[in-house]
Amino acid sequence: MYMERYRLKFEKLGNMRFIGHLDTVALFQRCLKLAQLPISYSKGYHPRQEVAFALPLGLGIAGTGEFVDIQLDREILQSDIIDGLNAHFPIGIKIIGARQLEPNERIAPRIVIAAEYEIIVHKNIEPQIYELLNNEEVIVIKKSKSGEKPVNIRPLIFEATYENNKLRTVLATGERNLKPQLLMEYLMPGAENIYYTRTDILKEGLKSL
Amino acid sequence: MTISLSDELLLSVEKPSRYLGGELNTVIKDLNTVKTRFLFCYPDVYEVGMSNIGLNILYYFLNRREQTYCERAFAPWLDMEDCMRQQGIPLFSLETKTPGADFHFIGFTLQYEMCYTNIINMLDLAGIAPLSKERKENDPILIAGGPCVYNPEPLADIIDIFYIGDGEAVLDSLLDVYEENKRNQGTKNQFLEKILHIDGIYVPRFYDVTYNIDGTLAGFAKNNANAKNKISKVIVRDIDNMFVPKTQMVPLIETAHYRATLELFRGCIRGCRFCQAGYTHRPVREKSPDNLLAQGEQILTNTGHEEISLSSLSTGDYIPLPYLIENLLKNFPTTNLSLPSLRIDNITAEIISNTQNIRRSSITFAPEAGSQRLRDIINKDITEEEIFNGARLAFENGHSKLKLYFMIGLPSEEQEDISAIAKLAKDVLAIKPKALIVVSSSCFVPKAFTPFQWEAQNTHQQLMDKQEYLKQNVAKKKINHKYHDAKMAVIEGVISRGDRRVGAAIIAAQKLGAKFDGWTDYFDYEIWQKAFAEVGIDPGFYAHRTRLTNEILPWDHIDIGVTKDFLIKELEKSKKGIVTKNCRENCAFCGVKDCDVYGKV
Ligand code: SF4
Repeated sequence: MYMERYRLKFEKLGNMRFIGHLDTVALFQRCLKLAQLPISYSKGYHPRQEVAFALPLGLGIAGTGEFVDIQLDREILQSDIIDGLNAHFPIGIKIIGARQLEPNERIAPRIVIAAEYEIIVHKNIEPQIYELLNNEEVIVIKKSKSGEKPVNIRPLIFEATYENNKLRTVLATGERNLKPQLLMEYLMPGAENIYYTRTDILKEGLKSL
Repeated sequence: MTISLSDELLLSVEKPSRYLGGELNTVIKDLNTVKTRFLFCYPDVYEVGMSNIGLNILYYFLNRREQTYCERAFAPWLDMEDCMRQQGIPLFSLETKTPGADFHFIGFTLQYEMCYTNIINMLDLAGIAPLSKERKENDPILIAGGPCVYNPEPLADIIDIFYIGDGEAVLDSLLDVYEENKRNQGTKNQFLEKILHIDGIYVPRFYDVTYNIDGTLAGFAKNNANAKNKISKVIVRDIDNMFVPKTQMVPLIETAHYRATLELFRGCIRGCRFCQAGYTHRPVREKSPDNLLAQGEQILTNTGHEEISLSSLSTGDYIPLPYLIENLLKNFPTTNLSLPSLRIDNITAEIISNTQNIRRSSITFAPEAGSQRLRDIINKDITEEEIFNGARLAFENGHSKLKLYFMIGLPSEEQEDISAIAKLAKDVLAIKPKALIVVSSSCFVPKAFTPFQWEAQNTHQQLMDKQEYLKQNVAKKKINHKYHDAKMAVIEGVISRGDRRVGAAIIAAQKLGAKFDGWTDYFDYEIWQKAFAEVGIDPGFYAHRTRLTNEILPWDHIDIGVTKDFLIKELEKSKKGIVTKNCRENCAFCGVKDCDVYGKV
């Protein structure tokens, strides 16, 4: 069958920040159905829609540059995909772009290496950022199911700039990843009222998906 | 004023999406064009409430009125309640985050007596006094309906208006009167008086109760000339042309029943003597299957659901069921079918084989009692042979797990009846020794408007002894035994046949911390003991006392159509073990009007 793959760019804002990844996946699948798009299904006993999210977004974090790949059974106008889905999404989720994938392009989750965040704080942290970037080793305690262990997070920070209570940073994802909350816990221990937005998801060369 | 919830708060509670609103197909209105604001409160946790078909119907029913805006609130889960109390956040609506106290109406659905402390708790969270006489002119008007409304008395001092019967049949006239009264700048009391002529409306403040020295009711008299002596239930008779929502709200998190629901009919032909809905929902009103097919299509296209549930009190009794199933499968080949409430004596191979493909691997039947003697007494008209046949059919069609549902503590029950449960389970297992049988035994609670409304409920000690005896006898490798909390059943028993004085105990229990009483983990019997002592109520008087049939019952002013004489006759027949045939086979002249059930095939 002739398949067409699309990469959709979307926002996840407001209340939708508190919908977890699995529920977000289910919501997309439902809205793809409601929009009556000719979504492809996997073969096998339990056919699944061919939908691949680039990178799960943590609970409470806003997203302005999120990505998901979908596969359709036939070609459709990109604007029809966007309008069709947006007619069904609840307030807070919106498709803001779509492009057709080249036949040889790999799906989003396979090529992600980093994510860009914008973090709003209520204190000047310029000196801390300066110090962070000038250190070769930054050790923090990472808690996981298997216990606590020290990790050097410095190599996981690709970029960090600070201006007007806004920290813009690019952090590694994948097997060795850095959650923005862990970075902030290091920079401003115990601080509250930090507002996180993931603004982009990046592939090799730190290029947007 | 609207409530805003901080990110920290939302991240600190389990499942923040319970409090967000914004689900698919929820209604957004411009508050400037809305005149009457109605907060529909479901006194249980979000997931339970969002699975309720009644909530969905009334939500769209009320919102179809342009100037009425119905929003929702659920009982916040314990972690959220703690945060709300700490931060002074009142109960709020999910749609616009408006505090509960700012609504014109607060509506409660009474699904289950053990939710009543949640009602008081939600009022408390909203900053609304529980007693109607303590509320002010500008406080919301409290209205309630639902399956438990047929004995409204335990909540009579709390709720302003009860509607008895189908909400679709009364709420329009009620809101019309409200809006007119408001235009004329009438008071709350004037409004309450003006609705007294509407059928099905009960305003408890216009009636006074007096008691005898022995605690029984001495009299029930109206104190307002416009009040009716008897409040008759109202129902939608023309069920095919009634309001039906074209869609369903779809939560953003998975809930218990994440599926489309079609209501096949209201009422039940059976007349099991323990079942309140079997009497209060009479007569049976069936929807036409073509109508249901069209509704099903609408709901599936508007929700994207992949499962459709056929709901009723006894789905196998729907006459056109084979036609409906055949066409549902034809029209929606990828949609799974689920049929709760099947009777073991009228399932067919078609029904079973067409529903087995759903993920649920077990099938449930309810013989209710272990022995034929007791089944005859409760009028559960099925034989052992029919149970075996039904089980065989289920096994042959691929089911390997069978749930059998029984009640413990039924009138006249002896030890042999309980042994018979164990034996029945063993005999069913013998049909397919590799199968797994789950015996679930709940505790019988006598309910108003049933032939057993005069009967004494077993004490919790008796119930626990019986459960223990069953456990000893049934416990086998391939038979699991699950049972319900006997103490919880006794509290349910007190409330379900309670009078106005029981309301004080519900309020006292909430003050002592009772909430989510239907949840075994949170139910606290001690609290209830204390509450009863505090308000001077003897729970045994309500739960464990046999009433004389000439006693004035707290719910005697409600008229469900079925006569008291009929219920007395049924009680006498039950004592003799005489079965009453189902309504299609034989009309027993229960008194209900406009009934066309007898003789239908
Ligand atoms: S009138 Fe007869 S057929 Fe109708 S509900 Fe009553 S007993 Fe059944």
